[in-house]
Amino acid sequence: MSIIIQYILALFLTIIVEFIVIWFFIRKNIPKLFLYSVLINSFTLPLATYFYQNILSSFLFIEITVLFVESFLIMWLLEIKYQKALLVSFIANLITSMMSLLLSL
Amino acid sequence: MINKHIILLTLTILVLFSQIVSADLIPEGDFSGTKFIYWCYKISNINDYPEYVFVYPDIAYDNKAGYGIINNQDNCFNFYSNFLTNIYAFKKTEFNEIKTKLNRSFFVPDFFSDFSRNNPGLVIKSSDLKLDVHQSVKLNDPLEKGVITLNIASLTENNLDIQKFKVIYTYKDGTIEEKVFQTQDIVPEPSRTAILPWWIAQLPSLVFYFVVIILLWFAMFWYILLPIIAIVLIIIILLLRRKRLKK
Repeated sequence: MSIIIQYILALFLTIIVEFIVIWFFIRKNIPKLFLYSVLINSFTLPLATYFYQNILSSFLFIEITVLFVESFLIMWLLEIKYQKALLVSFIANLITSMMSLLLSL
Repeated sequence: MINKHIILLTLTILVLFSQIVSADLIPEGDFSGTKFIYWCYKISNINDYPEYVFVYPDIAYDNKAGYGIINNQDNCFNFYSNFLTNIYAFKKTEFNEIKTKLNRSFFVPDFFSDFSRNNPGLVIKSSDLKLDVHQSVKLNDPLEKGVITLNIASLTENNLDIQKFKVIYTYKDGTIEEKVFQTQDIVPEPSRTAILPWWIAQLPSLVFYFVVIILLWFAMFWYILLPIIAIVLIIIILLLRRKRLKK
């Protein structure tokens, strides 16, 4: 059961952190930003976990892929320029990956 | 690491479901909550009748004869059907000749009936030894085996009187209990029976299976449903927005 709690907690923390980062850059419509954060992370986190555990155990490669996938999703959902979306995605993923590395220690 | 868990869980679930399916076909085992008790009969004083061969109907298949011979008092035998629970006594001197015919016979009980009708005095049929025994008990019942001891009360040329004498119960912990028949039709009950429901004993494995099922459902939700739902909603949002912009 603790595995389930760990997974849900990881998703929850990622959503919160990425929401704060997105909100820091785009200060409009908080509920919408939160919903987008939930959708983006609900899509990328389980798949990233699956790929990391089953297909390619390269943390860096997975993180870079997630960074680009999320940057496109942020661009489309938030209707912002790609450079800004990439920056938002980069900072959000940098923080969450640092957190996951720290927590795994 | 989680992946290994998932594979293990999937295999466990498959094993679990296969057990449920077989439990459905064969009403015995962990999921029906019952187990079969092995019952057999012994004749305690058979050695007192060396001039006779005692035979009981059995299952005939392949090269196996449709009858069994009770050789001595330690020979524990089973009746294959609840409706064919007679023992037949043959004169030893005649048995070899009868045996040849018996081996060729398709359905031994019919042969016994016809033979005893046509050859009075050569074969003596016992009374019906049918007993209403507990074929299956609760899974956590301590009872493992029941041996019914029979006694030949009398054997004449026309009559074979076999009486049920006692029942010997063997329990899971190896202890043995003897109970004497008070009446011929009622099997004395074993003193030790399961008090708690069968599933109490199975609780740890039931909890394990429950956890396994939850984990498997979670894995399916986490790796498949959640990303699909998320991407579908993202696509819907983008399509709706595009539609709105076109207007």
